[in-house]
Amino acid sequence: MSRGTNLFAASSISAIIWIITLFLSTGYVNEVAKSMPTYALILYFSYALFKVGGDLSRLKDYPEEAESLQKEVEESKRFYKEKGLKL
Amino acid sequence: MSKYSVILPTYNERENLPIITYLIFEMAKKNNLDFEIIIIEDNSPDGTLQVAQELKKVYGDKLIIHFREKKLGLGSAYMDGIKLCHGNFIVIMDADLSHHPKYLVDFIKKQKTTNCDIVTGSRYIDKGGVMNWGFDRKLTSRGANFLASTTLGVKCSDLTGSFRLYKREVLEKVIKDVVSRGYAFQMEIIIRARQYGYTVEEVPIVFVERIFGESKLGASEFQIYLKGLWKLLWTF
Repeated sequence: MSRGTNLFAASSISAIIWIITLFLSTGYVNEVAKSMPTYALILYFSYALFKVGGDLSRLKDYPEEAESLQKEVEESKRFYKEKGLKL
Repeated sequence: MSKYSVILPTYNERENLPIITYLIFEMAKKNNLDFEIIIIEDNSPDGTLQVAQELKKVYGDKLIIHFREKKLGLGSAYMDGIKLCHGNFIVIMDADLSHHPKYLVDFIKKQKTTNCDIVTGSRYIDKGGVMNWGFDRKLTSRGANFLASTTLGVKCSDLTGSFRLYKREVLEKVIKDVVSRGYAFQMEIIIRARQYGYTVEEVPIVFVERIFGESKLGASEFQIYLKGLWKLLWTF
């Protein structure tokens, strides 16, 4: 079974359980059941924000890498000039 | 002694090709490593082939040029390249200087110490990073990686990375089964490799956005990525 099939099966079962709970439950449980899908979405997006945001804050820029690369570009041009290459 | 073959697909890389070739062979010389480069040239309109032929005057047999009549894509470039490799290790990298050959020393060290099957360069682990990326590019990249790892349930800090070292027999085996294109192609290789029980290690790299030439990244790339991800979801 592919991951897609697994996810589809899991979400279908969850949906069925949720619908049954919605129709059969009363009072407080019913109130909670109604807001479960929204809550699940909020959880996922909060996790995404936390994870991606955290990764972005840690993603470093390296200006010195760009500078050293420029120097190497010049070095390579000199090398080929010495070899008499027309590039 | 280990021999390393670099497969370098090129399209409109007339300015970058001499530089990347120089950097690879200088690194190899400094570290006493046996390297060769296989250029897969897809009939670039900017004269990349002529530049490659000029470079062959300097590097001789260590530079192999494979010309293709039209742009046929990365997957087929790798498959064609593998047939021409003499090495027992194969390096896949971009020709636009965003993948610096100096990291290959770290890749090789990692491979020798762990005897892993694949070493992949990651921008997103400690000591890794980027340069010349705007905020939206960073966001798109991290977002795409997050989407792929949660959707597919795969743990890899840089799934779409294309700077890798493979044991030759591993790449030969895995690439036969790959069906995706674009970024999904790189993801699929890692997923399939793990399925076969191959080991993957990560090494930090700094990815410097291209200095010369035009980026092949566009809005449609993201659509292709999503389609590729969707397809992978139902493949594994």
